[in-house]
Amino acid sequence: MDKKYGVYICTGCGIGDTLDMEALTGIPEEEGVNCTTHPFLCSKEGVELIQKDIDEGKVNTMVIGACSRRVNFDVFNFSGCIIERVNLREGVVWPHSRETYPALTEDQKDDGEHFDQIQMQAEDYIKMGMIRVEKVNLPKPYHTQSFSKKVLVIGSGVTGMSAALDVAKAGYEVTIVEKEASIGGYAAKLRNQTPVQLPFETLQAPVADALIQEVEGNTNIDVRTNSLVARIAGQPGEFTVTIKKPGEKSPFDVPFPLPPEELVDENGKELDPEAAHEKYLKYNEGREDILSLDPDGELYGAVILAAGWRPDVLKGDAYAHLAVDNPNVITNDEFEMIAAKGKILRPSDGKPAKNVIFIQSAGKDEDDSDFEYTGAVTSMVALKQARYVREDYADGKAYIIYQHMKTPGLQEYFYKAMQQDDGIFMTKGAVTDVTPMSTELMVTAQHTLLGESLALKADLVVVASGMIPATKDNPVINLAYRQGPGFRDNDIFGQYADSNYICFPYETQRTGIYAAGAVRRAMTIEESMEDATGAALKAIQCIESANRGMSVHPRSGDLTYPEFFFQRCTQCKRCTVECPFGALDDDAKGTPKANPTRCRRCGTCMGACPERIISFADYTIDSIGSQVKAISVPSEDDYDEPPLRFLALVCENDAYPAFDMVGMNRVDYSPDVRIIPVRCLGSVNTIWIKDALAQGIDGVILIGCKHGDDYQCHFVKGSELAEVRVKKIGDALASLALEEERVAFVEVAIDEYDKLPQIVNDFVEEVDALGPNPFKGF
Amino acid sequence: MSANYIPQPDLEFIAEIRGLGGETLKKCYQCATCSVACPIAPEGSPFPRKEMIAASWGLKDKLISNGDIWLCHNCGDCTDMCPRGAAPGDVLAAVRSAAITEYATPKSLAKAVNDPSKLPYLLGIPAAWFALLAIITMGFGGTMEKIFHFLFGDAFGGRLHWSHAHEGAEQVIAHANFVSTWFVDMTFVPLAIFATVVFFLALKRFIVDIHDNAVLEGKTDKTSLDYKALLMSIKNIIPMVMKHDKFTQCGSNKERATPHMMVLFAFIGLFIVTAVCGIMLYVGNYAGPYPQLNPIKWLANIAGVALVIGSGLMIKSRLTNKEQITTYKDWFILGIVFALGVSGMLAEMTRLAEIAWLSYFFYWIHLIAIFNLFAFLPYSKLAHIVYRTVAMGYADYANRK
Amino acid sequence: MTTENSAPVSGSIMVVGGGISGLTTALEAAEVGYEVFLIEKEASLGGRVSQLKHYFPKLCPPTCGLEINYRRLKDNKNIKVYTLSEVQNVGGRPGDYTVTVKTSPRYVNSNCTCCGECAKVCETEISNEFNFGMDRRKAAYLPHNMAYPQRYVMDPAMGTEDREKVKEACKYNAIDFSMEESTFDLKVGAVVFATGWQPYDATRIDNLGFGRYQNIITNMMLERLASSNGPTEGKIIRPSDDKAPETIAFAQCAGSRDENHLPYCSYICCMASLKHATYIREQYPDAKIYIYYIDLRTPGRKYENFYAKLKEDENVFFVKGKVAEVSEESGTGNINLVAEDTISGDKIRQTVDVLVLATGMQPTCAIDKPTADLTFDEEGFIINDFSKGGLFAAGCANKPADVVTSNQNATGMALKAIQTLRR
Repeated sequence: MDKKYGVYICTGCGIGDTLDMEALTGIPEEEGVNCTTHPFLCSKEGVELIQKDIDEGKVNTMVIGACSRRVNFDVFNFSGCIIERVNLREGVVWPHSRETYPALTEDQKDDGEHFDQIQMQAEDYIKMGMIRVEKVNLPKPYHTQSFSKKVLVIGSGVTGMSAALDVAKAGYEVTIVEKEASIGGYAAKLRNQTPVQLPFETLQAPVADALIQEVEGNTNIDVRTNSLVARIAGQPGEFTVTIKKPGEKSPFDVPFPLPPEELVDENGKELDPEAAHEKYLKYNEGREDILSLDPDGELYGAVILAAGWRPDVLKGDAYAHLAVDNPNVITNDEFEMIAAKGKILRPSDGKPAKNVIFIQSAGKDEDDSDFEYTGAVTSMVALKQARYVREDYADGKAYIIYQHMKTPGLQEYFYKAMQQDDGIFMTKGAVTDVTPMSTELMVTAQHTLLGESLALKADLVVVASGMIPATKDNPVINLAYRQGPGFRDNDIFGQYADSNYICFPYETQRTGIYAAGAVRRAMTIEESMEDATGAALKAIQCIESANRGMSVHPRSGDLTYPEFFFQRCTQCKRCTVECPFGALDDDAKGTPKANPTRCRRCGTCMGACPERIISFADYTIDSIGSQVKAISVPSEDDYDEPPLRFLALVCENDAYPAFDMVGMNRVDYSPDVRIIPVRCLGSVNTIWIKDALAQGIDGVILIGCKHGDDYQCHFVKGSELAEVRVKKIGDALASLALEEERVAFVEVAIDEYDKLPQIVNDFVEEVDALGPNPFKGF
Repeated sequence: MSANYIPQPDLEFIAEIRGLGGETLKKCYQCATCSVACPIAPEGSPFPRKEMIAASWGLKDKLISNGDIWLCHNCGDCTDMCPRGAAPGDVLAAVRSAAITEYATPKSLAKAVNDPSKLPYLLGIPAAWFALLAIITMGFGGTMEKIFHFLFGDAFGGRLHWSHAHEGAEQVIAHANFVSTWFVDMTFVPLAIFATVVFFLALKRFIVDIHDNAVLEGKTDKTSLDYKALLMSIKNIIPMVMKHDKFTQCGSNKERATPHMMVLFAFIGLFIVTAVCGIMLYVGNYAGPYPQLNPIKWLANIAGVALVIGSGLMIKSRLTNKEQITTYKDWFILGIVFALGVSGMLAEMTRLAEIAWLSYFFYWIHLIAIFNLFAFLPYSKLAHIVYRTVAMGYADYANRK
Repeated sequence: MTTENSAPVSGSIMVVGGGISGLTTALEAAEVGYEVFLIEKEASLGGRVSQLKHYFPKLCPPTCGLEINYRRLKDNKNIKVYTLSEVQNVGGRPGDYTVTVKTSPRYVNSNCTCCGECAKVCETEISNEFNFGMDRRKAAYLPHNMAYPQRYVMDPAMGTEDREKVKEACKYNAIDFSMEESTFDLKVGAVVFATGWQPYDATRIDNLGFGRYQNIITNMMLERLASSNGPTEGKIIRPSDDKAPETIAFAQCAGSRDENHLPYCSYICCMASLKHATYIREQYPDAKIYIYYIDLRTPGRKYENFYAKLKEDENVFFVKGKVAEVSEESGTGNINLVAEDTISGDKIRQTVDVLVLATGMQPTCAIDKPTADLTFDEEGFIINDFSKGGLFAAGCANKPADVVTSNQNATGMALKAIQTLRR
């Protein structure tokens, strides 16, 4: 578009009182850009004033100097215009008062000695705003070649069936892929199940049966039993899926990346890319490369992963004390299968098992946690199964030895109801061992509620083994992604395909693929069905967003997407490797292929690219780079003792709001710092830092989200990558003969605004101690 | 670490406790609020939390022989505060009556006393018995006199006669003319002895059991049983029992103390009266009925009134208090005591009103009540007089604090 | 190629309650393309979680997620937010409801620039309910520093003199005391109630002495004390004398799992207390922390790990036994508590500086029932009837739950609402 510039500055909220408006408005005017001030710009009149200029075709690209863009966000959005908010209020005049930084008297001005730090800051920000709008463009939404609104559901247990039904009821087509010969999953094999609705007091017949009926009766649902997903290629809106029979070999079985040990030669040296690629091809012989689409593949818009779980098998020394090898010591799953067949009989001799002990925790008396992968499910299951014993035998006795009876929320009612059975006996206790005797088993437990250690005789012992998520055994989704076929970072979550986010439980690192049910966490049938509904919504939402060319969470609605200037690409693959969402695939040569609907618009690729060929319509290396260059760096030519200059690149999601709060609280920090918000620290390209230092800026600080296993970064890896890059920048600085202390990285959470001023000032002092940047004035 | 305990849950026992008023025994989830709520539970292994899990597990062995169940005065504080809607107070009450049956011999009789369907026999047998004695006394006075003369002749200076001489000769209404004092005493003295023997046998086991249990559960520092010391302890706690200290520590229903005290003191009073009368009769050869001015008569009347009012109040509170579960065993004993008091007073009043036949009728009722009280003392709830006193004595002996 | 680019809108959805669950339902539905009305009775969105310092188990600030949600809200034209508003009546049937909404006056209009001049001059002070009355605030106030919308509120309690002052102080004539309560109707196809929860009124738990003794506080009060935007700027000190506590005890199941109060388990209190132990540890490396529990409910791998980490702290002690009796030590203001350690079988009498009651959650709709065709359970939770559709409950209006579960549930309810519109 043909840009028509205009600058509007609000003089309200203390801006006008604090700043020398004449000087400030002079800045755009020097550039021949019209600058209008208004005492109350966000008022009706103020906004109308701007709208008038727009209507008269005077402007379509504006810099608005006022309060933070987080305030009055809805007041200054003019469709079809490029707008940059310059934060003069929270960013300049609120944290820095005239009491602390007196205005210059007439004769102090230009005396080469005095300078006005607040004014300098405001002027820089206006300059930075102006250059930015010059560099950015309005986004045009991306649309895929082909598009499908169909949803693929992997797994046909209660979770898969519920998800499919929920998608179908919203009017979308669904395909369920089930590896077994029939649908229903584990929940269909039960004798009875724990209650899924109030009053939560009785066992109930498996709901799976009803769901199966409903699924089979629904015309929107296409069920494929005896089927597996060989690969899922492409991106949300146009996933090309290859479905095959179990055990069948398909050229479209997804290729697996080389395991780390394969990436080194016999003498432990890392293979060069060519050799590695050779090896990779051999490793995946007979499998098509991820980029070659299956001509017979089916098109889907989004995927729901409901692959569920398998019962844990308890073996080895950790469980030796429980005599797990004895035929009459079985898991809750084995017990369920016996109960489903009929009366409860002992595996060893088929005699009635009338005395059954349920063991909930394996830790002897050192550890009071339940078996792995159990969640709160196994407590519920033990209560249910204890009831089986009583259903089958009037004189039956069921014992539950628990460390903590885990029936949270309304499930407490089920615990209470089961307690009432005369033949169900419970105690807290640490099971120290299970000893087989002639015909019985002797279970001993310590620290019980009966005031002493117990020795209990049993016909059958049931250990509460956990639910191993399907994703622990293999990726299941088999994504044809360069980063590999599964979810990344599942090891952080114990191989659950879970989200790291409390606020956003369905966020995965693979856009368009949403996990639900026991593959995410040990869940009861009730919880799984509820979880399925949420995943169903996310799948539909992803399809609709992709259809509109919009990003999904967390930059929901963002119409920009990464664009590449391939002529300059050196096939270094960094973008492909570093993208937290595996949005990029590179071809045999290493040229990246963007998959925009997989992309979450964090800009990590942009930050990674050494050739700086990746950009977004309104966010480019140049747009930020130019803002940095726009920062005035006073030198000795200007003042006897010029003020230092600092650049702060801060995460717009957490650190930037924190700075706003510092402003709101009127807390002072060095006015020599220039803050530039970035989409994510992951998008920070080190060139910005180098250029900043090269132009004489004394120090650069990056402020981003906490990382590590409990990362708060909304783009998973951003702040972590930024720190790595900052560490690496050291040598580059050395080559410029600069101390590496001039570049710092800090993690702050959004609620640490009270620490922020100190952090900034400490950095300023530290650099001050090093003395000014020698590059000043060059 | 002591040898592991091998629990043997007993489903029948659980059912029995449910039947005896402990139906909430399975509701407990062991938060131990009750042990803290209880104003009289000791610091070390307090009750009733551990009794509740033992009950819900049907561990008869841990409960019957557990002295703590007798320390509980069923004041209901634990029940009020229980977050799970369980009533430990009632569960322990149920366990106590199970224990009474357990220690009593013969079992058959014990069972009968706690079985409503047997009530007609429990009342009928003494009714018939005293009816027979009445017929003999009234119809065959002469014959009896002869038998007496034949048996004793002039022994004891010929002072031994069938009928006792009464002030103002024949026309006075004297209950002895209805059922001879001889018969009465020949009935009740053996009964009293029988009851005592039953208690003795029971206590022999009881004391050993509660001691073993206390040692096992570390509730005492004593290792061996010193009966002498135990006896001293029992003596020590008598004043406390009299003063009803434990009752008054209760938060939820203190008011139970007064009626209970009235009844206890009434019985003591009446015991004294009976003793004194016996002496006056057989030593002083001074037969009743005594004039109202006679101090022993005052005591008798006061005690009688106290008994009626006391037991009356208890019945009233049980009828009004919906929280507390009241079972047959409670009604049985309350009924007997109340009937005993009322019939006694009425017999006296009607005597003074000179309505002979009515007075004799009430006396007959009175005798039946006394018979039930004596004969079934070791089996009825009233046995707690003995067990609780001994258990409290043991707690004192065992330094249970 | 693109299939009909317009949003698949057919009717709109109302979400009642702007806490984390309500925000989630509203945003998820809006981002599919539906028009959403979000009704919040307070002056700011954010609800219960905005009072929390951290979420368990990540110990991350709730404001981080709220900020993202507010940003999604700002960027999404499909959502209309009504603060200080309450639903008075829901009439009609699935697909076609008429909802009567009542909005109370904020006495501040859209002119407000959030400059804060009004608060400077206002002298009237009112109890700060955001901090459970532990401090006072001006009658001209911003609900809290992460408030959405960022707009001041004038409390009706403000005196006429102050009213003049604040009006004068506001350069942008944003203050308008002529504002009146207004009632209006909205037509929607489905309504999702995300009315959340209230901390159970601890004064009702007679034997735990809350309200009688100053140094017995609730878990939510501790949450405010620990928060940097709380009454003590985040310093955990005890109410009676601002002393730094050396021994702190937590009484779990204070009112929960209790037929005299809340018969159900409130789900979050165990994890909350474990989290609070980390707050205390952060400020007081040597403080002794005692947690009295019946069962510690830390369901799932993440919660188990959190608990496991805390078990390694040798100054955190776990006692199986419920605190059942409390009293105040004369003079010191310390709290004497009594419980039975059910494993050792002995009574414990302990004196602590502060006793924290892990009070549970009571559904808000149990306290004020919405007038709508809903079914409630005995405790006042809304029972979802998906076969009927139209009206749904999300988050803690439906059952006691942690934030993750609430958000899962809330996301799902957005779809249930959409299904109603698609029928």
